[in-house]
Amino acid sequence: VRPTAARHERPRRSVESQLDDFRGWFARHRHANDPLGLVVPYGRPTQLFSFFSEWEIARWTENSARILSRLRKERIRIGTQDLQIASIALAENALLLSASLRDFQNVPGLQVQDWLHHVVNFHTSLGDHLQLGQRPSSP
Amino acid sequence: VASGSLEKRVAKLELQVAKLQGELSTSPPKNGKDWRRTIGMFTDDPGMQEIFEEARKIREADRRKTRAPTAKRRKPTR
Repeated sequence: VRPTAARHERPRRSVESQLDDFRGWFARHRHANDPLGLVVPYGRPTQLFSFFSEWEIARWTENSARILSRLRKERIRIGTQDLQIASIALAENALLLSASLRDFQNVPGLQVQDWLHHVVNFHTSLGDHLQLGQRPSSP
Repeated sequence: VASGSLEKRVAKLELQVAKLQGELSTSPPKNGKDWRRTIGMFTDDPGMQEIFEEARKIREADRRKTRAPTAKRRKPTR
């Protein structure tokens, strides 16, 4: 991660991004019925828990919920999951790091940047949403 | 205090502050979590990559649903 990232805050992942990985697991293995074939897939959630245990998770709060309601009233047209992530970032006054600028840039007041292309060999689960605790004071 | 001495003391302090700032930015958090330990965790794991790909598809589907035009077909007027 760029030095500027380390200087500001510790990155966090949103709870919504965390759930994404488990949705992916269910989608991939829900139809599996070979007991032997399940040995490896059933180890995956344990690996995911191990992964997330090293991250601080930005939680869904009452403030996030209020912001989501406001954004819906404003008819911000981005995906439901993205809107939830944006709400968490706004509630936390966080800088959102995402590879999906196209959608997140539609959210008023949300500061979003794409640093992932600058990070070598950095595999988070989706390679997607990281959040820094506080926005930098200057852009 | 001689100005030369003061300058040296300030320079020394600046060096110490810079060092402390460097330590703050690189030391793991006190709660024991350190996201840096997850770097490359799944790089060579095709099974995990498949899961992330499924998750990415789900997210993309959610986005497409929103981007799709919602205009309903008008009933023909007589």
